[in-house]
Amino acid sequence: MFRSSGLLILFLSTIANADVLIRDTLGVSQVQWNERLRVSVGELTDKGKAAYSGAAISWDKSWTWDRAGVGAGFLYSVGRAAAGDFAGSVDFQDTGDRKYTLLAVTPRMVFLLNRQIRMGPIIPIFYRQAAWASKNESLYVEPRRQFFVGFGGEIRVLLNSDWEIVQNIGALSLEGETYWRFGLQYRL
Amino acid sequence: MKTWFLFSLLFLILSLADRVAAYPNFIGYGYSTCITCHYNNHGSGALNDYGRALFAQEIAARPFISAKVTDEQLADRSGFIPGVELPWWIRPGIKYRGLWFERNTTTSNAVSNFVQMQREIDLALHFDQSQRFVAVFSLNYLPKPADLYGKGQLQDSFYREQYLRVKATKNLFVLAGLFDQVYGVRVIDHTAYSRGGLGLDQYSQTHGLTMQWAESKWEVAAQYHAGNLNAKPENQQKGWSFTGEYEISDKHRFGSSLLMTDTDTKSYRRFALHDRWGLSRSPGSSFLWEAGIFQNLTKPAVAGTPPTGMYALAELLISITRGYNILSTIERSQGEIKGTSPEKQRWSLGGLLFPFQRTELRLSLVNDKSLTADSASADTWSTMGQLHVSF
Repeated sequence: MFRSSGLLILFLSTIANADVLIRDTLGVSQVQWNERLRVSVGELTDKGKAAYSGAAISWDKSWTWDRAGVGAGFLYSVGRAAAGDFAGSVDFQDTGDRKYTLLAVTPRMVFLLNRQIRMGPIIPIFYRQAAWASKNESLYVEPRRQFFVGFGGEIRVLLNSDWEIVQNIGALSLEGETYWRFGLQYRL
Repeated sequence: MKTWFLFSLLFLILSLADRVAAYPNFIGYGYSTCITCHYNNHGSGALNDYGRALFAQEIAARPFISAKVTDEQLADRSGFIPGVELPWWIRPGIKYRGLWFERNTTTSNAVSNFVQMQREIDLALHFDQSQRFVAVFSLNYLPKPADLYGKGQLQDSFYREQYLRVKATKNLFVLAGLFDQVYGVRVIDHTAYSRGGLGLDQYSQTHGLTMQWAESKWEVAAQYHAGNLNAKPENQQKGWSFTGEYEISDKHRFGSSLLMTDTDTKSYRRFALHDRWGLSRSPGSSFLWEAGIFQNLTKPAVAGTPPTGMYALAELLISITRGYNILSTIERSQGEIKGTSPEKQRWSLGGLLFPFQRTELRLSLVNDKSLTADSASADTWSTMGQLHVSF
């Protein structure tokens, strides 16, 4: 709570009485994240992981004042999903042809290290769809809820006046559900 | 006789030296080519006088040093013995790296280890004062005795470099002897998918000939690989590699590499593009990437089209202040370029620090992922710390 307040105070103090710079960017990224996954047959339950990996397109808008700002964007991703890392108490074999789609909203705070490098916390909100139903009708697959929120950090590097690199690293929980994003954005 | 005795004595004595490293990421400081700081035109190995001075006065922090001591004075003290100018013809050096790492960090299966990664003695001999003819030797002691060349003989050391460098003309350099293979960007981490993952780690030297033509805005090089003559004949990798870079703009270089080598039983083919970009409004910061394809073929060839794999690396160095940097690296590798083919990904975040003169400290958190079409595995987290000292 104290750290969040300090961050907010720092943020507000840097934007007071400063002109705002508004930027739109459009880009492509590689995204990857893990989710917890549970499978069960009757009374037997097993916990494992679902790994998602794919490509994304994104649009982002940012408002910056002097040394700080805020940003928000939309991201759409498609790719493949696979399950594994089970303890073995339930006999589950993934089919290997599962796709996913992902929509995300990505609000963030921005702190300018200098004119080319920006960092800050990000709280992405995800909506994910993947067909996790098993062909074995007695097997119940329980992925995470379709809506979920992550937390993490973002680094943006302006390569020049037109292009920037974006990196996100974060988690959905403290149980090994990490996510990454690495991409290239064009400044509109 | 006296000269040879002195030479031998100096070679054997452990001496003070300013021997840390310069990296391709240092294009962020405006140093675009490796030969600026290294005897080896493609980087790694011993630093020359300019590289040592540059490191002392620009890269490394200077805590506990009086403000009255200028950076130029630090540069003057960056030699073998601080403040003492050695005879022009000899430049010895020592390098030490110790690595601590812990796998499965934060789990009950955490395992830690300490490795003496590098204990190196270097020697550069200048045969003329303009350094048109230079002989370089680099002797490395292994972390523990190993049968490095598969000959059934344990050894505790090996030569990483033994070559003669000739500056034939203002632009043409020729190196003959034993050195690292020329290919790609020699990033800091020898376990990177673009280095160790392609068989280009710290033990993969070749005897041969390297010719480099260097202009101010571009350079090209060709290397003939005669194979590492210390290895068994059937394992000696022979062939060619080529590399080139072009300066697109200030502190921005784009390049390409090609490698084609063969042993008696295998063929290696690699091709890559790379880009190194110094961030003009963030002095010391840089972004580099390398992406390539590779084939590891068996001989005789098997029926069908051999698989072509791919790899990619992107590395961001953010200079916070002199001597303190954040280093972020993302990598991907796939043995066969196919949607369902397994792939590996690695992300690391940490610090690349030069907190004192002659000292480098690296700290990183590494996340490794393995992805396949029909299974998922838990991420592997590792923590690493590395200390590099020259004394």
